[in-house]
Amino acid sequence: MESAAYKGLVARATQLVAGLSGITPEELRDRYGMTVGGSVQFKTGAADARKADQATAGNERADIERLLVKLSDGDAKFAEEILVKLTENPSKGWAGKKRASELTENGVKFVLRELLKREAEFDSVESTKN
Amino acid sequence: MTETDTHDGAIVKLPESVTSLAQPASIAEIELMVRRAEFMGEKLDQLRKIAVARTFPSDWILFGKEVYLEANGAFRLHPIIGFSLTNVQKQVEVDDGGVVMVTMTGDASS
Repeated sequence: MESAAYKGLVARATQLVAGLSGITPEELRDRYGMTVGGSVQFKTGAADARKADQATAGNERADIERLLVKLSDGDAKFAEEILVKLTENPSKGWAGKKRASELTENGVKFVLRELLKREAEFDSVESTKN
Repeated sequence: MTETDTHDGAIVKLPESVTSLAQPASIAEIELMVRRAEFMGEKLDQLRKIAVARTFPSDWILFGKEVYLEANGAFRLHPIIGFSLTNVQKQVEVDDGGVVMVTMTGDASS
C-alpha cells in the first residue's frame, strides 16, 4: 500500500516537473510520438473506495455475522470472543475486532475462510450427535 | 521639490512626481529576452522529446481524457530531467469501514 503510494507520488511529481501533465493521448502522439499503452479505471478517493469495498465485502460481512451466531449458538458475548480470538495478534500489538463491520477487506476474507472451516467442523460434530 | 530625511540624518531633495524607479526595457533588451525565451522553449521541447522517447507505451495509461505516466516510466525519465524529491511525508488514514488511505506529499524539482 505504502509502496504504491510512494510510486504514485514519484510518477505524478515527475510528470508535473517535466511539463508533461494534463496532456491528451493525441497530444502525446503528435508532439512526442508516443502512444498510450492502455486505460485503467481507478477507484477515486476514500468515498468511492469505501463504496466498492462495501459492495464486495457487504455480503461476506453478513455471512460472518450469520456464522458467528451459528457457532456461538446465539450468544453475543461468545460470538465477540470468537471474532476477537481470530483477529488479534499480540505479537504485532493488534487488538482483536469485536464486530464484522470493523474488519478490513482482507480481514473479511481471512475471517470468513476460518469461520467456514469451523462451520464444517461444527456441522460434522452436530451430524454425529444426531 | 520636497525634502526627506535619510538614515544618516542628511536631507535630500526629491522630485515632486516620482511614480516608479523601474526603468523601461529597451527594444534591444526585449528582443534579447524574446530570443532567449524562444531558444529555451526549443531546447525544453527537445529535452522532453528525448525524455518521452525513453519511455514505453505501457508506461502511459489513459485515465479519463488525460494520459498519466506510471512510476516505471517516471524512473526512466529521471536521468534525463535530473529529478529530485525531498521532504517526503506520509499520512495514513483508516476509516470506520476499514478503508486505508495513504497520502504522500513531497517537494519535487528538476
